[in-house]
Formats: sequence, structure tokens, C-alpha cells
Amino acid sequence: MTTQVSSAQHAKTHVKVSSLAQTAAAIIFGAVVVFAVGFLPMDAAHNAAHDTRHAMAFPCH
Amino acid sequence: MLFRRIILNALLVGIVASFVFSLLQVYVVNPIIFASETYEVAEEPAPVADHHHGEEAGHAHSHDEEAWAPEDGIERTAYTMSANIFAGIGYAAILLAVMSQLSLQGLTRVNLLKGIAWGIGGFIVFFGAPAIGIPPEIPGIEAAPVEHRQAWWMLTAAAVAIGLLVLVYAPLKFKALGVVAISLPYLVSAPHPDGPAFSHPDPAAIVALTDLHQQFIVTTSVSNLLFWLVMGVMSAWVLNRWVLTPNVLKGLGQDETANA
Repeated sequence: MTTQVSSAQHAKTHVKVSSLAQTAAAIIFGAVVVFAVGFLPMDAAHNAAHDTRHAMAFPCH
Repeated sequence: MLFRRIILNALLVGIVASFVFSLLQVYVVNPIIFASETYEVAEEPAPVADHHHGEEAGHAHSHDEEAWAPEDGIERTAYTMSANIFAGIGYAAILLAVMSQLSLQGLTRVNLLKGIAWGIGGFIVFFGAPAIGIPPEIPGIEAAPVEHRQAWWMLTAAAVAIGLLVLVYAPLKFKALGVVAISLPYLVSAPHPDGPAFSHPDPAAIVALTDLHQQFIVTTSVSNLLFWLVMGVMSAWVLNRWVLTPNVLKGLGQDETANA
């Protein structure tokens, strides 16, 4: 019985970590995409996203 | 699988919200950018630490052989709209992930009305708070080195996001920390250049640019607010409908029967 309880608890902890890991991964994904559009210093990236950077109040030039 | 659902729904939310934003941008915001560019002068002194290496400083679209730039007109608009879509997808992924995590921890139950609040929160974090220190810029404006402004922008968005979340969701005894986090970027203070706002030698042009800049701040504020309201409401809607479905919750051990 005790092993059942502890394994269930273990499973629950594991689940918590896994949902947090997934939402954290999604936040990192989003941040990388936003960084590419708004901050990437490459000239071509800057020129492609130029008007977006100005309109979304990202620092430009 | 929660991650996949967040990303798929972020694609949907990002595309819809950025479409709304793009419409406003093409008709209201971009004309101001183009008008400002007509005042740009090639003889401008190069701003310090400008990342255009040796090209005509201050020119929005570099015309040196090395750096590619879209052709003015349809191509430029297409690239702008694509950039908007990517920005929308990225922001939507962040928004949906934070909403999901807080919902899973039982700190909030998102509905459409709360979606409006989330949208206003996103607007404050990613537009309002950075714009207080560094107002939306038109081409031809004099500014501190871009790297410094970018660093301050990121610090501000991160600090204000954490601060707002702490203020709303943390226990009472921690709420003061939220205020500290929100104040931090302004205590550091945004980088500003010394000297005039515009480098243009002609006083008449400076009057025109100042007027354009005022218009630009208003139109970008309205556009970004609408963008974020669509983001917030739509994110709330997809979260309950397609992200945190009974199946997903079950997979995460979050359904009511599992806790019985």
C-alpha cells in the first residue's frame, strides 16, 4: 500500500515538472521568435522587419 | 501534449491578431514611417555604435551592396506583414504558456472577460512600459546606441511582466516585490542621447518630424492596444477550447477524478 501511495505521489510530482517544463519551453520558443523579429542585429533581418520594429516600439537603427 | 497544443494555438492566435495589426499598420502607421523617411539625410553624422557598418547612417533601408532589403511597395509590405505574423506567434506562445501554467496551478480560471485583462497586461508589458522610457521611434530620430536601448527594452518587459504577475497572483506579503520589479527599469532609467531629438539641419523639417512623431506615438499605441486585446481575448478562448482540454488535463493528472 505504502509503495502505491508513494509511487502515485512520485507520478504527481513528475507530472507537475513536466507541465512546467512544457510551458517553459513554449515561453522560450516565443521569446526566441520575438527576439528574431525585434532584436536580431543582422542587416537583412533588420531590413525585412524594419517597419514592424518601428510600429511595435522595438528599438531600431 | 501541452507544448504542441500551445504552439499550434499560438500560430492561430498570432496570425489573427497580427492580421488586425497589419491592417492598421498599412493604413495608419506605415504612412507616417514613409513620410519620416523623406526627411532622412545622407549627410547625417553617424550615430555611435550604429550597426550599419559604414553605410549612410540613419537611412532606414540601407542601399549598400551587402545588405539585402525588400523593395519598396508590395515586397516591403509583405515582409512587414510576415514579421508581424512572427511577432504575433511569438507573443501568443508566451501568453498562452503563462496562462496555461497559472491555470494548471489553480491560480486563475481564464474566461473571455479575463482575456481582456490579459490583453491589457500584454500591452503594458510589451508596449506601454518600454514606450514610457523609449517612445516608439520614427526614422530620422536621434537615439542612444541601439544595443543599449535593446537591453533596456528587454529588462523592462521582463521586470514589468514579473512585477504584474506577482502583484496579481502572489500572496499579499510578496506584493511589494511586484512594485519593486515594476519600478526597477525606471530607476535604472532608459538610455537617451545627448543633444537634439532630430539631426536634421532644417528647422522646418524638425517641426514636421516632431509632428509626425506625435502622430506616430498615438497611432502605434492604438494599433498595439487593439493587437493585444485581440491576443488576450482569443488566447483565453483557445485556452479553454483547445489547449487545456479534458484529455490534456487527464494526461497531466489534473482532472477532478484523479484527485479523488
